[in-house]
Formats: sequence, C-alpha cells, structure tokens
Amino acid sequence: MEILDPKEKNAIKKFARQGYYIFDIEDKKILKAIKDDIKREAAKILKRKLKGYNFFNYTQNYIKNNFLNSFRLKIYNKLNKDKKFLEKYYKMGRKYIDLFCGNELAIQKKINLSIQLPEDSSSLLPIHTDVWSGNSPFELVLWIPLVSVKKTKSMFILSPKQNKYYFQNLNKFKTAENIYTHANRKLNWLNIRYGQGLIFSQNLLHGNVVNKEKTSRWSFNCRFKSLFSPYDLKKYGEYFTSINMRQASIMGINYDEPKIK
Amino acid sequence: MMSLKLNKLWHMGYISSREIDGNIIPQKVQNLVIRDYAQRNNMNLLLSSTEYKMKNSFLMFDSLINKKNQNFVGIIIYSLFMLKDYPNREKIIIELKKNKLRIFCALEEIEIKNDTDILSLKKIFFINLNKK
Repeated sequence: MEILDPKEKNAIKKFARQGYYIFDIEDKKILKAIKDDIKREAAKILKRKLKGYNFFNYTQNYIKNNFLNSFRLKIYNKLNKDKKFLEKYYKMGRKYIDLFCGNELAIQKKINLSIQLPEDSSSLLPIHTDVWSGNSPFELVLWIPLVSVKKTKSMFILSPKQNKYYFQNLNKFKTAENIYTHANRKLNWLNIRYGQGLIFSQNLLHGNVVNKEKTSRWSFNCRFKSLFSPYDLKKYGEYFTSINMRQASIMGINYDEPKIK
Repeated sequence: MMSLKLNKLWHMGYISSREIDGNIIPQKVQNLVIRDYAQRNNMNLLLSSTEYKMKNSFLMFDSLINKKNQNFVGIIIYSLFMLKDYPNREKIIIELKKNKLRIFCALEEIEIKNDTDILSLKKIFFINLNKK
C-alpha cells in the first residue's frame, strides 16, 4: 500500500529509473550561510580578504595543489564541529531524503567535503560503488555542490540498467581502470546548478575524473539510510548517528521483558 | 598563494573492505595507521584507494600497480596480510619496477623491494598459520 500524492510518485519513479534525482533546494539561505562560514574560515587560513563568492570557482588562484588537502581538512573540521551542521545539511534535502529513505533516519556523523581544482589529480575517486567498499546497499547519498557543476567538474553515474552489466560481468575486468575505460561512453555527467541538490544511490557505479573545466568544484556528500535497515562495515555509532528517531522506537529500545525465575 | 614548502613525494594509500588475516579493521583505523606511517617517513599522502569487499577482488590493487601515468611514486598498504591471497604476488616486483613504483606496508613498517622480500612474505604467512 502506498499513500503518496502524484508529485511524490513521479519523483520516486524518476529516482528509480535514473538512480539519482536532482532537486531545487527550497531554503537557499542555509546554503548561503554555509558558504559564508567557509569563506570566513578560508580567509583566516589564507590570511587574506575574500570578496564576493568568486573564491569558490577560482580556488586554484588561491591554493596550490599540495596544500589543498590540509586546507580542505581545516574547513571540514571547522564545519563538522558545529553541532547544527548535520541538521542544516539534512534540511536542505529533507523533502526527498524522507521520500526515498523514510523519516526515521541514520545520517553519516561527518559530512564530507570535496574540492576539485582544475587539472588536479590528487583527490580523485575512480569508478566505484560505495557498497563494494563496505557501505550498506540501503544507503543514499545527498550531494550538494557549492558552485554550478557540469562535465568533468561534476561527477558521473551509471544508470541502474547500465550498472547491471558490470555487476554481472565483473570477472571480465582486471582493474577498476578497465571498468572505467569500458564504461566511458555510457557515463552520465550530471549537470547541477548552484542551489540544487542531488540524491543518488551509491549502489550505482559513479566517480569523478580530473576536472578539465576552468573553474573549481566544491561539493559536500553525506550518506543517509533508514535507521533500522541493515548496516555493513560503516556502523551505527561509529559512522552513523540517528536523526528523527521516533518515540515508539525509543520506547521499543527501552522495553525490558519481565523476567520470570 | 599558499603552498607546502616540502619536497615530499606523493604516495597512495590502500585499504581493505574485507577481513585482513581474520580481523575486521575499521577503514578509519587503517587510514590512521597509513597516515601515521606517511608522516613519520616524510611522505605526502593521497586519498586511499579502497579494495572492493568481494572475495578475491584485487581490482583496485591491480589498478594501482598497473597504472602507467600515476600521480604517485609509491603505494602504502595498511598491512602485508592484505596480499596473502593475492594471486599475482610473485609478479609484484616486476610490475613495480616496470611502473617505477615502491610499495610499503604501514603496520609492519616494511618496504617490499625485491623477490627476497616476496619470499619473506610467504614465510610470514606460513608461520602465522600456526595460531592457537
């Protein structure tokens, strides 16, 4: 039995067909506030004033590749120290996370930040599915860029239909590189504007390559799953925390069966 | 413009999603050991590659050692025990030499440099079979 309105049904249908769903973030103030926090922190680290928001698209003019990771980690740590950060992030995709995943959720404890400078090969994620690396197949990723992304500045994903081939024929490939070479022409490069978010199934093969565009990519990613769905190597408590745990579940966890001697 | 005033060479981490010699080691811990090893040996570290969890998969490892145009000069694997079931172990040195790569085992703090080291691995694996 499904009790959903037609818009919700359409969104689910599209998500099931594509394996991903791009949506407009309703409260863009949250996104802007996060960007402002980053800009403030970046100005501190770089010891210089940053005017406007050009810094995000032109980060390569401010930071060299070999300093990028330590810079990224400083920003990542600062953002994730804020106890409200998870909540703010969830709110930006809540409508569709709840629709695709349920409303009693497990959320990754720390939100990942990725920065891809043009021509930088130091932080690539070759073609993969998170499931093959210890994530549960019940997880979805909420991916939000801080700049508009397209082509190699973005990420690629295979459709569920295309994905099936590689799952059934993995033995034919000797290296992950071979899978990418074979899949190269079929990849969907996602075109996402600033102010939009993406939800995708990490069961599907996805990844990125060297950013060949002229501007830098900044993006967040965070995994969500139904709280009581199965876990794999990324465990509840260590990697995930709960969000919106309902009272009935709390009561159930605290329920103690009477003991009869 | 900021940059690191270091002349360190880039190394790629390599971690597992499977049991390593009968133990499940959280990936976070594997990465910590690799990072610590890299820091102590003055190596720059790239984001780790994670081996797939499917039994007998070495697709990521093979990608690393076969890659022709690497942006790294060495691979730091969490533990030598990750190579216990690697079917092409005897050929690792050939591949490394061909692609001008070095390979280090962070937990055991060793480098696998030549065929003698490969033979040592065999000895280590055999002796460690004798568990209580």
